[in-house]
Amino acid sequence: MKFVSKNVFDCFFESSSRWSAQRISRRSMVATLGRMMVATVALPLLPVYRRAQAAELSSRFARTAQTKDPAQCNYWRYCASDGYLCACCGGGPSTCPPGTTPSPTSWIGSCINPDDRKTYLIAYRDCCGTDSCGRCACLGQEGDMPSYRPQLNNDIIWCFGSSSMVYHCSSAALVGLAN
Amino acid sequence: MSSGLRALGWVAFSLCALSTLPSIAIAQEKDDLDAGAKLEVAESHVTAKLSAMHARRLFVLDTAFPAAEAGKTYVVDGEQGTLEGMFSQGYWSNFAIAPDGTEIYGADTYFEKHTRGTRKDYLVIRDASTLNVLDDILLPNGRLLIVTKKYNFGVTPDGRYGLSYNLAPRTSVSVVDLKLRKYVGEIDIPGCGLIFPQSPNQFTTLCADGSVATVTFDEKLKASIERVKKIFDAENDPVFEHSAWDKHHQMLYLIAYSGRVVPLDLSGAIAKKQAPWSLTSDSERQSGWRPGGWQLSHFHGPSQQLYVLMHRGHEWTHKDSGTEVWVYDVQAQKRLRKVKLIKPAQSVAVSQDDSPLLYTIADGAPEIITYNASGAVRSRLNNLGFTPQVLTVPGE
Repeated sequence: MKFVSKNVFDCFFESSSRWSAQRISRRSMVATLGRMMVATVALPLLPVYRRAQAAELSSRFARTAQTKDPAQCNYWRYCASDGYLCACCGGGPSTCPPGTTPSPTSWIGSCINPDDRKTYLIAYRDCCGTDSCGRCACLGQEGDMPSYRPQLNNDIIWCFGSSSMVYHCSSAALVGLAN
Repeated sequence: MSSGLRALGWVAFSLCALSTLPSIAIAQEKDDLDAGAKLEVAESHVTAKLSAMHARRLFVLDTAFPAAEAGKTYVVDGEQGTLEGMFSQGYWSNFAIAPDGTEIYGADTYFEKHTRGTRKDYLVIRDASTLNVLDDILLPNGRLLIVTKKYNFGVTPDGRYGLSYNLAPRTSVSVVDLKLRKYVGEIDIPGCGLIFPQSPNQFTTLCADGSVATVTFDEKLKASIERVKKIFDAENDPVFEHSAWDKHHQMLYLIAYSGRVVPLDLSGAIAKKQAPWSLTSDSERQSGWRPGGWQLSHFHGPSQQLYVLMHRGHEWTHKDSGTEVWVYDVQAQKRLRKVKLIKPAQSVAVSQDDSPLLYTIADGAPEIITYNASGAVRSRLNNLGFTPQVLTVPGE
C-alpha cells in the first residue's frame, strides 16, 4: 500500500482511515471519531475521515457523475470535494499546480466510478501556499457538518501542517479500491 | 533662463501665492489639500467621518474568496441603501461592534509577505467614527482559519472582553481585555466550538457530542465549565452555526438542519433547554421546505421575532440559498409571515429598531437587497466587493 503521506503520524491515521472506510459503517466511524475528538481535546485531527459518500449508485452525486472531465464539479472523484478544483488551476485531480505545496494532511472519502460501478477511496488534499485559484468553485454539502464537529466540516482551511496556511485549490487523488 | 520666461515664472508664482491666501484658513481646519495646489475657486478637501452608531447601519464582511487575504468590511447606510465606507481586514476575518458603538473590532490574520512568511493574528481595534486603527493586539496562539463563521468571535455584553475561537488543534478561546488593550490568555473548551457571550464573564459554546457548555471565568481566566448533554442531535440533525442569538435576553435559538428549533436559556450557570418546536409543518416538510444558507437566521430583539432563510430542497442542501424569509414569533412559536425574495439569498440580518429593515446578501453578483418590514424592496446596493458573506447590525 502506498501512503499519501510519508509522515509517520499521517500514515498511521491514513491507514486507519482506509481500514475503517472498508470495515466500519459511516455512522459508527463518525461517532467514534466524535468521541475521540472530545476525549483528546481535538488531537489528533488529521487526516480526516470525511463522512464517506453513499455506497450505492442511487446516491445523488453518483447519479450525475462523469469520468471524462476533471474540470467539472460532477467529475466522479469530487463526491466530497469542496473548493476550487486544482484541475482548473494548472494542476489536476492528483496534482498540485506549480508554486503550491500539497498539505501533508488529507481526508478520505469514497466515491463511485460510474464506469465500473466500483467504490474507490479518494484522498482530498488542499494545495496551499499561494492565493485562491478562484476558478471552478464546487460546493460539496453531502456529509458537511458544522465546525464544532471540525473533522467533518469543509469550511475549515485544511492546510494544517503545510508550509503555509494559505489555501489555493482542492485535489482528489485516487488512493485505492474500497471493496 | 530668458527674461521672458523669468517674467512668466514670477506671474505664476504670484498667482500661486495669491491662491494660497484663502486656503490658509481652510488648512487650519485640517484641509487635506496642499495649500500650494489650490486656486481661489478651489473647495476644501476633507476626510469624512461616520455619524454616531445608529440602528440602521449595516456592516458587511466580504470574505473576498478569490483573493482571500484581502478580506474587508463595508459600512452601509441601511436607511439610504448607500455605501458609507470600508476598511481592510485580513485572511478569513471576523468582525464585531462594541456594545456602546464607539469602537469596532476585527479578528484578522496576516502573512508577512502577502501569502507567505510569518503569520500573525490580531484583534484589531478601530474607531467607529473615523475607522482608523486604535490598536493591534497580538493573538499569540492564532485563530481558526475557516470561511468566516460569525460566532467564532464575540464581545462580552459589558464590552470588556473580546473572545476569539481557536483550533490549533487544541480547541480554545483567546481572551483579550479590550479596555486594557492586552491579550489575557486562553480558555480551553475541549471538543466544542463557537462563542456566544451572554454575560461579562460567561460564554456558551456548542460541542461535537450535542452538548452545550457554559464557561464562567474570572479576571485571571480561571474557568469552570458546566456541560449539559443531549441538547441537540449532533449526529443526525446538527444545529446551524448561524443559529439565532438574542444576546439581550440571553436566549439562543438553535436551528437544526431539519428545521427543528431548540430554544436555550443561557441566563444561568448552565444552559436550560426549552421545549423544541419546528419551523415547518408536516406538509411543508414533505414538500421540501427547510432552512439553509450561510448566515441563515437573525433575531429581532424588540419584537422577539426570528427571521430564517428557507428553501425547498432535499437533505444536505443546508448551504443552499433561501428563496424566502420566514418570520416567527418565538413566544407563540408561530410563523407570522413570509417574505418572498426577489433574488435567493445566502445571508440575512434585521435592523434592531422598532420597524426593522431586512437585509439580504443576494446570490450572483455581489449585492445587498434591503426589504422593509412588509417585504417590499426598499433599496439595492450592487458591486459590493467579491463575496460579501456575513452581516452585522448595531444592537444585535
